[in-house]
Amino acid sequence: MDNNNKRKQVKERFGCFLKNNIAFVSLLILIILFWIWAGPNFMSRKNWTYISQQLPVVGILAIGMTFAVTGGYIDLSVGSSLGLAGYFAALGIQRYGPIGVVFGLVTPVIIGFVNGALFAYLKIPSFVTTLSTQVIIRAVLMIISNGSAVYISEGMATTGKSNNWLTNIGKFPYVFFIALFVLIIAHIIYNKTTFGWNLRAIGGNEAVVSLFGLQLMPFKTAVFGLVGFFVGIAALVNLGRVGAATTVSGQGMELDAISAVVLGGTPLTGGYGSVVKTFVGALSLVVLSNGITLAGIAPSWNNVAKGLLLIIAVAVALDRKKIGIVK
Amino acid sequence: MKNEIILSATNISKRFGGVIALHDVSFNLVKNEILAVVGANGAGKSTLMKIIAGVLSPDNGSLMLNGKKIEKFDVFTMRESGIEMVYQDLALVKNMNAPYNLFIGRLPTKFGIFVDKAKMEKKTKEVLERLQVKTIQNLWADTNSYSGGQQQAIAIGRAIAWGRDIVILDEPTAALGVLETEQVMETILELKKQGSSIILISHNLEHVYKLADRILVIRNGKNVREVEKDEITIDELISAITIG
Ligand SMILES: Nc1ncnc2c1ncn2[C@@H]1O[C@H](COP(=O)(O)OP(=O)(O)OP(=O)(O)O)[C@@H](O)[C@H]1O
Ligand SMILES: [Mg+2]
Repeated sequence: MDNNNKRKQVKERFGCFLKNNIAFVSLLILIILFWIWAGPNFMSRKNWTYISQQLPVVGILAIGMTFAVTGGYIDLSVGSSLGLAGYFAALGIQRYGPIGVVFGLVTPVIIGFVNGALFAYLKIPSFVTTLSTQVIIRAVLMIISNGSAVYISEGMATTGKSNNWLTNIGKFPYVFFIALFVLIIAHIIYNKTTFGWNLRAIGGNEAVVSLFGLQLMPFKTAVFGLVGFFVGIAALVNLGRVGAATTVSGQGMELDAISAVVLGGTPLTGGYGSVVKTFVGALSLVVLSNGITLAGIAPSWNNVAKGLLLIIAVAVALDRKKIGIVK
Repeated sequence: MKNEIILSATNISKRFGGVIALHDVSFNLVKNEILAVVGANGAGKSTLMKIIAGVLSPDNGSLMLNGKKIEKFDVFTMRESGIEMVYQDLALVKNMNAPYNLFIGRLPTKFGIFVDKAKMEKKTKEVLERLQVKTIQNLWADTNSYSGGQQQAIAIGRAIAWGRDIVILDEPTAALGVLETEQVMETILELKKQGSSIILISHNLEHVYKLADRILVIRNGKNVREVEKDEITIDELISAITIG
């Protein structure tokens, strides 16, 4: 009887630990798995340098997404927004040199505010709003770019300056430190500021928070603006990495970002979350596709594995006591 | 100075679609008194109090606070002018911790943006001590994980924490144990001693007689009696509630 109780308690503790740390646990399992499967190449310094160059774009996007999801919202436009931001940044850099990155930051912030305003003031669900802006932005990018890419190296001809600084920030270690810095700032915003606290509260019970005086509509608009800011940074990092802005930049990335958020244990219903765990979730996704390649498995299996990872992670970790109703 | 009126409602009406929740309700709240509001379920007590707290605005009628007519009905403005309320449904954000709920709408900050946790913790502890709530082990846990009574204590704490002019309590002891109920009653008397005026909604007539100075009876959305406690026997009170 006593023993039974003890065993039950241990089991409960373990379950609780698993629920709270699913991001770390799944990352650890993936690393061990691919270490065995793909051999020592996987654990080489070269490969981890590669991984840490792959991580930042999706990691930063996912960090931004965590803010939207914590409110109970979603932003499906981040991939397209990243594409358009990269395009304007590349043009700006070509024409004005380094200061041109401002275009890359401002564009997605404006898009974020528009998303937020449509959602908050017109009360169009964020899913619908951002699904619409996603396709619109991508189409606009196609139209204005005429389908052709912009190479930042071309800028040298007009400005007479090399754009090495930008390609440099796309490389290890700079790119990784940028991501880490963004992570720390995001963590502080999320956990230490009134904005972060109110965001979580709104995700849990919007009615009560607004009852006590918080202006919901500007707040929601600001949340999407903040998401846009993270998109901007991700767009610049991506531009540095790729060296060009193409019409497909960022395509499908919103799904990776959302997957990372979910892997990080943030419920899509809002009210809870962690940007650090989101970042670890993004790392899991990168490790997964990297490991699959190294293990010599056909890349098409990558998405199968990704999907399965999501399902398993949520099945194991979704705190059904906290969430109450699963929709 | 005696019998100075702090709050005065005149011909307040409120309807929800076809339901007339309040019909021409008038009453006064005297400074530093405890006014008990009694009435059957659905009589309109909570609706009346929500109007005073700024949650709802009346369709008709007027509300004077300290001799000034209230034009704008919202909770923020009412709290700024010194009215706090304990809601029947508690109005807690349950995925957040107790200090957040205590400070909701008034989060103290450092450098204007960072949450001042130390300040929050200190005040929350003070308030819980005042309410003699000793069972809350983890102050920073989500209020989700609190018992019904503990949650109610947080809701009451929020209203009394700010030492305001008017405190409205809508069935504050509904979820509380015997000791905690005693403590809340004590706290209500203490609030009065400190100069607050109190409106207490309760179905417990024993509590009403113990605490109240005056009693307001609401029946079917109308005020049917507004009397000194000593002027009405418990039998008369019950018949006022039920037959009017
Ligand atoms: N938001 C609302 N929408 C529609 N009807 C409402 C709403 N709030 C209250 N009512 C109606 O108004 C009437 C008065 O309700 P109220 O909550 O004020 O009663 P009460 O006196 O507080 O009752 P109780 O003792 O059960 O708390 C009821 O008939 C109720 O159904
Ligand atoms: Mg009521």
